[in-house]
Amino acid sequence: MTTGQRALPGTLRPAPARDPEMTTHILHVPLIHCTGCIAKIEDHMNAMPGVAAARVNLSRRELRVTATSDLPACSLIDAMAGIGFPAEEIDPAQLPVDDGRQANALLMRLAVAGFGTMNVMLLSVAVWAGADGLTRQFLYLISALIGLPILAYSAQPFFANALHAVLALRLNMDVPISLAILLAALASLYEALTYGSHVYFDAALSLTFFLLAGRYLDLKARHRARSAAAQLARMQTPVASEVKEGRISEIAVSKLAPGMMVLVRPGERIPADGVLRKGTADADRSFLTGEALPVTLVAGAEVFAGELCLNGVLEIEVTKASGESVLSRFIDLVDVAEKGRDKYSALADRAAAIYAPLVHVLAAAAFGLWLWLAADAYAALTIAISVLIITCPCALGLAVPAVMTAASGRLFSHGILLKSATALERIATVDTIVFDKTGTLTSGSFQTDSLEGWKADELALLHELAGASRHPLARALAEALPQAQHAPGEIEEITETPGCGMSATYRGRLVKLGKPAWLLGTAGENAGNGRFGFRIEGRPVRWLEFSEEIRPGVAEMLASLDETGLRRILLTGDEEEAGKAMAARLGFRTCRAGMTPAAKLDYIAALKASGASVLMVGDGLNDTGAMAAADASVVPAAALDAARATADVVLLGGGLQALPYLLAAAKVAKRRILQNFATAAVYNLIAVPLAFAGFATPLLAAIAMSASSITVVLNAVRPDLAAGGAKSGT
Amino acid sequence: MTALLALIPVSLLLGLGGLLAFLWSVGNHQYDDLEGEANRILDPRHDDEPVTGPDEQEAGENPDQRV
Repeated sequence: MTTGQRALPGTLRPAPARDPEMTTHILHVPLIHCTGCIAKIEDHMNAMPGVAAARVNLSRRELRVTATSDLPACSLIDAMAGIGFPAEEIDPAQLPVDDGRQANALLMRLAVAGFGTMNVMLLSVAVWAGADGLTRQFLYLISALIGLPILAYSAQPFFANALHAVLALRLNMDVPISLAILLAALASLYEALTYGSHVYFDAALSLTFFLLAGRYLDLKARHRARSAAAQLARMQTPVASEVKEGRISEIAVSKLAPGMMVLVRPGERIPADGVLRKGTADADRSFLTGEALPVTLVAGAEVFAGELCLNGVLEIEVTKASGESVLSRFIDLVDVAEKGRDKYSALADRAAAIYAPLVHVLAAAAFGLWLWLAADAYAALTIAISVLIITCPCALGLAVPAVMTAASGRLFSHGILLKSATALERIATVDTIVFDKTGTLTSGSFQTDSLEGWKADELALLHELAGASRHPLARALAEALPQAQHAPGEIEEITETPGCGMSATYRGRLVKLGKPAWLLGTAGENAGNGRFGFRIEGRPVRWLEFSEEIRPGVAEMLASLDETGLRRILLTGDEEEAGKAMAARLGFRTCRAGMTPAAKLDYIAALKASGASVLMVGDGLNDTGAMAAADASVVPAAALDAARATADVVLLGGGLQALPYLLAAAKVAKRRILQNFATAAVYNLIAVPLAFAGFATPLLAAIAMSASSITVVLNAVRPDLAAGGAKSGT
Repeated sequence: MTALLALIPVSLLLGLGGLLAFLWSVGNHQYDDLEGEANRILDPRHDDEPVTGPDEQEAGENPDQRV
């Protein structure tokens, strides 16, 4: 492609004004990885009619498209799928509005603090090198001039936080930090104005700088955590169609009571638990069983709120009020599990809880000691302040964020997206992994290899019939078959018989595709859901066997997990037989089948109660409870929105191969965090006695802080030469 | 000493200039997609003529933009 042949995206287009007729969509596109992708996507999308501008953000794997408001997001997504980049929309409303603004404000404070630190330290070096008298006084005054306004601006987050804590009668890490900064600034100002000997402006500024850096990294590492319970609640329809004396009226679902009759049309969700009285249809019960294959509902069958009716009109008698449905109960369970999970106390918080009181105690002790020894309040105060500054652990503020940021970046390049700041700590202690079957270990689609030796016209007919049905097996079939040309009029009257199959007329003959029993006209026996038959009248029946496709690389991945000695368990909502078959195929020693979502949650809770540390790998709505209850959770990228919302880690790309790498990386990260805590402690152990003895000059404080912070950061970013480099996941 | 009286304010001003330039560049979204910008250089279409700045990104900016 040479220049001059086409316009570079965006350059020749004027930026549209903030036009109410334009909307911006943000799409997440996990497969973007290089220049070629950027060029391909931007060219294609910018050429789409209605699109004003499209720009890729490679770091976030996002595409931002501004288009006319009547262009729906799904056409954008289809266009992306057409060039080989599956995408999904991130709802801007779901992102906290000030998310970017908060990070930006922090970055500004950080930049200003950095500027202040460097400049004041320049002046301090002059003093340490031996400036004295008037020169030193002048330098101190300039340091005060720079330092005080900058501290007032940059250290605000700490002051605000500390104030909140103190007003609530608590102590957090920000209280000693704020005290140290305030006292240092005021005492130093006094010294500067009265020809004193020591000022601590550079110490206060570098403390602010390093801590802000830690906070900024921490903020950037966090992704919006969305509540799974809220996602699940979307499956509850707010309005239902009540059938009373032959008339249909709308009624709020909360008003449904046992005994009422409701009507459900194709494409609608069933509003309440009940019994089917009239009609037949296939229903998608995946939120309950996790299985992609729909269930056939016939009169007398039990139905559940949240099921999606695929292809028939149903009249249902309500048996439970809306708050009592299986789905509602499950949502409550998930809510409780999520709240329990929020109580996890991060390593950083635990360290801070020890440190905060310690710093205060030491400073107060120093003050008391020197007051007693020297009877000079001012000298005691200066020593107490220097103790306060030196014990203030800026290394501690960087210990965890530095490791997390470095780890996130490395993991992202291996196709692993960390969504929670404490995910790695929790994953590092895991000793049991629970896998869901469908959609996690399997790709959720089906394969058939029974298409050998079919004639061209049979295949074409098969494609036509399969394409007209919403049944997942039919859709899998339609995608697997090539399209063929058929003169219009050759195929007529394509009809779907819910629960049974598709039929049509082709050149006067009846063609059927569907369940064996319906096809052959034999009664009963619709078992063996994985089998379809195809018959053109007058020819023999052709059978289609479907089997679940296991995700590529799963067997190898499980083998490498076994090498690490982790226990693995298979939980599935599918039937006993299917579960056992998969367990045998993949070498799972423990397997439970027929698990409802609540049962999965209870199983995980029981495992935890018995002392295990559990990682849950799932993909569907029926796994969200288990994931909220587990110590940590992982989902593949193709998982349902609700599952992705609640998970700690998302494995981008097609499969689960990155899982062993994630586990290894988590252990390394935790080790480094603890090393960093130790480093921070060691520096303080050396510096504090010196401060107590009155030897803490500003020079010592600056050295202690900078050295400890740099050590901590270098420890976080060093490559793992022992193991990590070789074990790549993708 | 008199040299310092002049030099220190001058160096501060220069430093301040640098700070303001940095803050402007952050506000101008230049740090939003470091990998992307690095990769765009490799696009052969840009070999003969430069691409105009981040105007493309500004296209479609809305009040609730996530930065």
